[in-house]
Amino acid sequence: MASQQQADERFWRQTVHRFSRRIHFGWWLDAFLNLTIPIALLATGVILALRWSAALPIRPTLATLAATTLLAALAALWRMQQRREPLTATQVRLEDAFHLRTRLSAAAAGVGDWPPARADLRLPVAFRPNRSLAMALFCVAMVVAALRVPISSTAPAPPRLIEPPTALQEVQNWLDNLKKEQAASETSVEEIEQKMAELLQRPAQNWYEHASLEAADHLRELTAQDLQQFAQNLADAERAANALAAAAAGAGLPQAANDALSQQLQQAAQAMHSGSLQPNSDLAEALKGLDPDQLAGLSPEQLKELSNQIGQNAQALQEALKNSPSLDFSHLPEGRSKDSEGEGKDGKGPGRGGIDRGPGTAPVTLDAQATELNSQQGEMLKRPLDLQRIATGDALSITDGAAKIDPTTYQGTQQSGAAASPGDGGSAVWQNTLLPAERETLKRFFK
Amino acid sequence: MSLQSLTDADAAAAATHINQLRQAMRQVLFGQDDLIENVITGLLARGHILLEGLPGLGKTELVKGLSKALGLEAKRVQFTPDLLPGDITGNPMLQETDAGRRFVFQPGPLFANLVLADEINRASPKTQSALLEAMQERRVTVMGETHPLPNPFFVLATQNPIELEGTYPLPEAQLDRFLFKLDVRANDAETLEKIVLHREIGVEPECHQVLSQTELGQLLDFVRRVFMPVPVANFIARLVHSTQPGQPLAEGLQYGASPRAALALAAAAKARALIGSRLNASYEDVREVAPAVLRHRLLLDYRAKLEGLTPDLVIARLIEQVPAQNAPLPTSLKAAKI
Repeated sequence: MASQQQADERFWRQTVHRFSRRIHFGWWLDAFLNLTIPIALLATGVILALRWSAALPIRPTLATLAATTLLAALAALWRMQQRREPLTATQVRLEDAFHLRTRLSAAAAGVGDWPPARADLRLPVAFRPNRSLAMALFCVAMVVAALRVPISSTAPAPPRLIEPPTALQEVQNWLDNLKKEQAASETSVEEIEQKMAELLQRPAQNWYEHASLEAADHLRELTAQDLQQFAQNLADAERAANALAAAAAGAGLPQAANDALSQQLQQAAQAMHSGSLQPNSDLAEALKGLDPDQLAGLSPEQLKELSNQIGQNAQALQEALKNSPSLDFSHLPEGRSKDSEGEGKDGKGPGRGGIDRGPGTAPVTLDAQATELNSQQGEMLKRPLDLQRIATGDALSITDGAAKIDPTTYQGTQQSGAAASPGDGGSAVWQNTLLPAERETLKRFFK
Repeated sequence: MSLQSLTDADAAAAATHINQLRQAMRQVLFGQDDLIENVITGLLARGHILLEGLPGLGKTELVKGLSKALGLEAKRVQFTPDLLPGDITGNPMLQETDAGRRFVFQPGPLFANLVLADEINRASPKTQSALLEAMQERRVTVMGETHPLPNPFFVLATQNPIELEGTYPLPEAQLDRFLFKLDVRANDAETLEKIVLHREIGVEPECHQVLSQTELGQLLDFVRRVFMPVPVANFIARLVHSTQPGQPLAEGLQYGASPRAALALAAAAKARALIGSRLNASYEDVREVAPAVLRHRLLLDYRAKLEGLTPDLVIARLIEQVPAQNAPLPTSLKAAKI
């Protein structure tokens, strides 16, 4: 009996303690939520102000917010301690809620027995989850909104970067690559750069005016022409030097042809020397004072060396401008790029296929036999083409040489009013030159 | 001097006696169980009771039956406007004695254990005050000589809520002397049928004595020994204090309850606990007796009267809104279903 009473007493005292803890947690939650709302509003204002002034360091701000929330939790704890309710008061709540007719207070005072313990007893109060959750969500939403809402900053906007016109950028790109690959003399490159700098001296706001754009385009056109001319000169010089070297090595050429080649090499050298773009210093030194008479006296090795130097410059030029699709080097001999080497293992002759062949595709020749003269005249395709898919108008090859004109077809000057194409018997006399739309209109008219 | 706490055996014995008394009263008065319960509570709390109700509802029968069941001497006084104080307290009469002619006090009807003051509001204020002094002091002073009234001494007064012309309503200070003011309500049809079948005009119902005077004194002693927990005393204090004008819950009240009301609440709550065989008074006991204790102690202002407010409505509001524990709950908590 006594043990039962002790068990009942222990049960009710534990229940009172549990109830007291819940009430005090409720006080703490009240105080905390009441503090978090002003904190959230304050944080919202501060974050917006910082964002407005473009001085919002995210991590320190969030750390400060977390620290403030922690302080609020501690302040709520202090506030809860101030409102601490004695256990006797909690006991009164309990006995009143369960209609125990004050038996807990009386038993605690030593009057009467403790009420029997109740199995699965539920405390007479419960939390309001909706209210607490709504307040917490409101605070979080305020802070998140302050962090996320679009806002215009008052900080001075960074100066707007005005890119130079595309034409000048392209020229600059060419020049940079020329300098990088040492494909032309620095002096000539700097001269072009000087021209470009003069154009860019104007205020950036004026770069896109009509006159400025025209000037930029003009500079680009000039530079492109210079590059093409330079490339053409290099190609001519290399071709002539190669031919001379081959002749000197024993291939043998008539004197006239030899002289022509010498002359051609000399002209190319002079053109390069007088052009806007000049070869790099090594080639310029080699070509300096090149005399056609002296060429005949050069040994095959010297000619070969000269040819190699020219080829290296041409190679450098091609390497520098390989990513410039706007430049048309289609008239120049191909095969400069590494990918288009296409040579065999020993670097001679076309690729033979197999696992040990060169890195590129073998140059396609249109002739039945590949020439060994290395004259680079009309053997290679402009670019690797799939002959099975070739279309009308695709250029298969570029050939240097005189145009094949049939002189017999020339019939002299034509008189006005004469028939341009006298028809043969049975052929169509009238040629339809109407546009489709005009033809359609006529059909409708005569219908 | 602290009283010895009530034991379970005492409470059980008291419950037996009270149950006998209850059953006896039910034989006298049909269909008025609540009234009987309140009257027994008032008697155990040593209080005087004011019964208000229409004529013919059994008020006099109740008092007569109570006196028979308790074996107490009962006297009835019909109060009329010409009733003098001496008519109820008694008068000194000049008598021939051995020592010569002397005034000898002749006790009036107040000298009984149970006095039925019928239609008390029809007596003059002077007579009313003489009765109320006897109620409070439990003694009578006539011509400078004090005469104690018998113990126990209970006054059960009645008044009709109708035919108020020519009456002298009891002042608030005198109403405060009554522990309870009970409304005697009309019987329902079932009860009336029972009355018709078991009662006859002119024939008093039979009622046997169930308690001796000693046993009644023991019951009264038990009531004093019922434990009053501090939280309950605090609740009584807050309940009475909340009736004072100016308090948030005292809207409509011109005058609130007195400290005597708090004492009456405590005594009635103890009596109610003993009736329930409990060793301690509780909030529930206080709430149960509060209407009977407070309804004649609260004075409504004119505005409340115009609005149709009654003391019972105010008391119900107070009982509902004055919590057992004064400290509020956190707003994050709500009352849960138990």
